[in-house]
Amino acid sequence: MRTTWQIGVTTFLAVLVPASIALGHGDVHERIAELNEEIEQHPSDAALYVRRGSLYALDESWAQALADYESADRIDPRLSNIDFLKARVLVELEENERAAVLLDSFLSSEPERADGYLVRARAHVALGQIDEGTDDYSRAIALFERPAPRYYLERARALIDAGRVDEALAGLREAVADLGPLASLVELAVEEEEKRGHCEEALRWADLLSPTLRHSPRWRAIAGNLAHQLGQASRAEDEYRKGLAAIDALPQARQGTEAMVAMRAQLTSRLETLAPSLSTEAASGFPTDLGGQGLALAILVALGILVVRVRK
Amino acid sequence: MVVRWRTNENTDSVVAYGDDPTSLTNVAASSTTTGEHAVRIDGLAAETRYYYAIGSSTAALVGADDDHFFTTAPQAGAARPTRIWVLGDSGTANDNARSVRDAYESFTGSRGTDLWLMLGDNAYSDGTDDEYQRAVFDMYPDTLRNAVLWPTLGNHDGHSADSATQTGPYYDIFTLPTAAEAGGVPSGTEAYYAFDYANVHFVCLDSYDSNPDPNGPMMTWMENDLAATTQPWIVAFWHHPPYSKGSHDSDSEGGLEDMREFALPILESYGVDLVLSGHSHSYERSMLLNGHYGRSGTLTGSMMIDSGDGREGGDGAYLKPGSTTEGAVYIVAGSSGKTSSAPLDHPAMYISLLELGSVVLDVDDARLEATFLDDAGSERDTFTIRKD
Repeated sequence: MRTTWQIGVTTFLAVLVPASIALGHGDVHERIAELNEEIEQHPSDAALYVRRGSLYALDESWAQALADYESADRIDPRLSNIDFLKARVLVELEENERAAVLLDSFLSSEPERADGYLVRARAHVALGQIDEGTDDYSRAIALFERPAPRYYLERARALIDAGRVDEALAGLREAVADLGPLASLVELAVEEEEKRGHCEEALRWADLLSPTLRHSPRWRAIAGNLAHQLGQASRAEDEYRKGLAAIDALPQARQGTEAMVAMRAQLTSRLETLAPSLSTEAASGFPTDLGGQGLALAILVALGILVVRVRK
Repeated sequence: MVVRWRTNENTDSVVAYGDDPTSLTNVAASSTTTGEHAVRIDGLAAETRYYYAIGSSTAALVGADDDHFFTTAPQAGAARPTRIWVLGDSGTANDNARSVRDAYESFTGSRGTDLWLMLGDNAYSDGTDDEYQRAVFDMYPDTLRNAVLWPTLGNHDGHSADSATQTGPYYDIFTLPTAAEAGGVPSGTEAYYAFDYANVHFVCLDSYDSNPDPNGPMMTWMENDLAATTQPWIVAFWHHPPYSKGSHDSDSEGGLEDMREFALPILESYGVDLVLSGHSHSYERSMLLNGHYGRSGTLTGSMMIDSGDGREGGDGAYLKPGSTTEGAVYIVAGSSGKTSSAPLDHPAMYISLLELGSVVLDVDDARLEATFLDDAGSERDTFTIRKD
């Protein structure tokens, strides 16, 4: 046996990355110019149109890309991937209905193509067909060996935009289970929980983050704000103070950055805002700023004491 | 540490390692039968040279000699002299790349390389496996054996790779952190990632194939990563330069403009020190800048924190003491494999050269020195950033 790095290009690339079919040398515009000449010499070669179309797509020249794919399709209707390529460009051109129809056909013959479901998901969502879109996102996610965070986020945002926050959050939980508690996933979940007033749930999401991130000044501030909204002034104070301590522990080079200066100002200001709540909380022994919720909690504790006393 | 190699027959994978090449007493292994070997070694001591040998449970292949070693990274935060070699658009697999390589190897000599970066377009024209073989593995065998290579995806690599699925030769060849294995905050993808080395925090972005929107996953991750780092130095790198009047124009190309408009405000607010890119086949190096997010014509004097040369023997080093953290230097280093003629007149640049070469970074405690080394071994540009 000997070491070797000499293995040829594997065939799966052509399947998974159809836009990159046999690209030649040089930059996109030079390569398009080369293909223009080749197409002039071989106007019936469908593969040349596919290659040029893929280059136009790389260049985000969507109309030209579509025209080339359609030319290729006319010349050789047996091209297996062409419906997918056309649909992908149609989504960029916001012709989502046409894209969805093409993808229905494409996926019926290639049901394992994750990227096909992904593009159709985007088309469905753009058409307001949220159920179909989220189903397709889920299929794509299941089929991708290593799904990217962005697919889960796209699905969640589609559901949020449709007012289906519970489902969006369930999808984000699935994402955290699959990918780990990534900042992008947790941040969206926290935002949505906070928007609907579920600050305790938002804090639970925040606590999923890695200690490095959860203990950063940024997340101390977020957690403090959530605790404050819950009327838990002491908890908020603890988060804010730890946030300030985290800034103090940074090297000088980090402490003086615009972001950290702003963060210090925010944490300091929040602590000042908290001061009256903290003194009331200290005097009463109960969290303040709870409104009816605080009162209910106080009564419940009092009842507990009463029950214990009666039983004695 | 992950050791990777490839064989033309499928076997299990064994790495023997230790501090003496004649006595490799430790073993890390994988029982999976494969031709694509990737063995992760855990429990290594920091700042330690380990010699190694690779092979299978039945036969050693190579190693157990003075040539096969790696040195583990210092603890994050420790100030240690660190040499970083930076190659951009090096993937031509020709004499240009060879001369740039030879010039660096002669320059660094026995000092060696602690880590190296590839700024994308690592293998022309399409980043295929075969092209990677010629442009990377055949080109830099010695450095590959001894120092960890951290790459970013270029547009040419992206012709055959897909960041969304993390598939294709680029993603198959490299093992990159997704769960903050080497420091930073987990990104969940190999397309963009962070790592620490000594007192430097490195941030790698994907400027070709990942969504650059400010609220997208990549920028959200980056902001969180920067908010959590405690490292004194921040170096960011990606392929498409935010400022260039080289073979690509940052005033008129979307990919370049996106990175300038979306990535730079976040990076600068967290005090980034140095941003490295390629794509344009030239060397362009800025003054110490802050807050320039528009086209070249919008650059104003107030955005130039220091418009000098940044040289201690000249106008003086760029200074970023703790009390002043604004300012970053932007380098386009896309001439490690070829040059392409261009105006080279971006007003943010202190110097622009149409020369083959690579960049050498030396970070030592509160001091960062950068050198552009041409293919003849001449130091064509230097500057220093100091934080003391």
